[in-house]
Amino acid sequence: MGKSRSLALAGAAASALMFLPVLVAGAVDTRQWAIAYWVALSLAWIAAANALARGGR
Amino acid sequence: MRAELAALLAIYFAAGTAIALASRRFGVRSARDYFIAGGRMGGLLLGATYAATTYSAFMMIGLVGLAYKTGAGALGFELAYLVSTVAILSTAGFSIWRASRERGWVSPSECFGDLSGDPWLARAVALLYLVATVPYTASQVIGISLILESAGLGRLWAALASAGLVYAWMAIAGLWSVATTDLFQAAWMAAGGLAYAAWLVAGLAPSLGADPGRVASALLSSQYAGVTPFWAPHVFAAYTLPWLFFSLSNPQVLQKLFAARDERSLRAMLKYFSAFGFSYTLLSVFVGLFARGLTLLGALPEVPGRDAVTPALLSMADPWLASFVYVSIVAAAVSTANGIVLSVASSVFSELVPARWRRRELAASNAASLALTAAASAFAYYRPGYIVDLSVLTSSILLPLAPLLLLLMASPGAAKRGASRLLLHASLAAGVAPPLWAWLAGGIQAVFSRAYWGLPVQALSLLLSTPLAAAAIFAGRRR
Repeated sequence: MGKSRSLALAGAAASALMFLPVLVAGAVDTRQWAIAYWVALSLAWIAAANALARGGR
Repeated sequence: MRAELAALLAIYFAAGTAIALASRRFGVRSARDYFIAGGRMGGLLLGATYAATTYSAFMMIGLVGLAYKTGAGALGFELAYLVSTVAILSTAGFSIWRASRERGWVSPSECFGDLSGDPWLARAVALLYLVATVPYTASQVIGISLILESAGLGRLWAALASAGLVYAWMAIAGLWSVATTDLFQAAWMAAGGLAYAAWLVAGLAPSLGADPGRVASALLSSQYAGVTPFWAPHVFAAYTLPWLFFSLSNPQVLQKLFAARDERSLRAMLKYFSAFGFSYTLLSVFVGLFARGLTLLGALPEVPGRDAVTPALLSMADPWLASFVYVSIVAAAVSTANGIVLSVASSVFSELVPARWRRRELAASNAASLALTAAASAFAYYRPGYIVDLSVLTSSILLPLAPLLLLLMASPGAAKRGASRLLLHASLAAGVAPPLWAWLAGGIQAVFSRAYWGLPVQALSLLLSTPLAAAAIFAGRRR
């Protein structure tokens, strides 16, 4: 149950963080990092979710 | 290109049909076998059918064009969907699978009726699925028909052949033939995407006198490498919100969870879907952004329409390569269309078909699938103007089903009668109303670009429907 809740919270946080480049676009030059940020965040989350799900529930 | 496309389409159809026929050995004797493979499906087939059903012709046509026209925000939008889907599958996905096993769900609408204790809710959900997904299926059939027309078929024959393609691999062995052909189609989609991207870099760019390194640096120094003004926060939210909850709101993917053999299969499905989704998203966005780089360098004239980018690029490719990519797009459309038809047919079968007709399970299941394929194909043939609008509206209209399902999962049987039932139906109506209102008031663009009180239409839909669903469950508990 604890692990399920942690996974759900981490997933919700990862989904919310995907919005960051759009929210700061008016104030920050997103050309420098937006693509790398989206790719790295989604890859890290996918790896984490798969590893946690694999470990049994 | 006509002969090459016809030849590859023939190979695709022959190989797919052989695979579908071979899948009959899995055995289909009941509606449960037909719609959810008797709950006996392993991880590889499940992952392939989940991915091929999810990723439609939109990827290589719509998303390529979106990245070309609006820049890297298209990547954020599509990856946000993937991140959220992985989150839902790795958490609620397991709970939904367990509940489906314990409670014997076959159709996706059944779980709403069973969890709420209100059979009318299941019927309302089945009706909503029907209204929302037939136009979306029709838009996939239109895509298949257009490609078949460019292979030399007349419009009527192209429409009939498209309908046949969608129906055939479903009728042979239900979800077994859909999933085995989806594995084949997912492989073709991946190979098509890879070939397309590789040709762009190693074939098209040099032939236009553009060094790939210069294309990349032109792109990275332009606004397209970042968040362009198109992706205002409310627009990003309007595009993304329905997709964040896609895995819960859309019947064709929700029902896939019921088919898993065990938890191990679900974990394998998650792995294969994650790998495919991530790679296919990167490929599609890469193609769009690279094409933008070519335009920035002056090597490629500005392509006018969003959906015209892939056809414009492939018109410059070797006919065999272009045909190979086009067939991969047909594969994406067919796998999405038959996935939707199969799941909505199961809801029609379980909620809307009279009980006496359901006795002959397989015949009734096949008839429901055929009727839906025919309806979508008729829409695709006549192409009424509103069909494209409605197909874009699909995921926004289905959005209120996601919080409703999560709340019902958390409190099964809590809304069995009286006021709580009324509130459940009110929550559905309140969730569907904002996108419909925006569409009727300002056209399809308004659904994605207009903000009411600073909120996109989809957020309003969630804000209106979720409290009503929560109130329904609270009222049901108190009784």
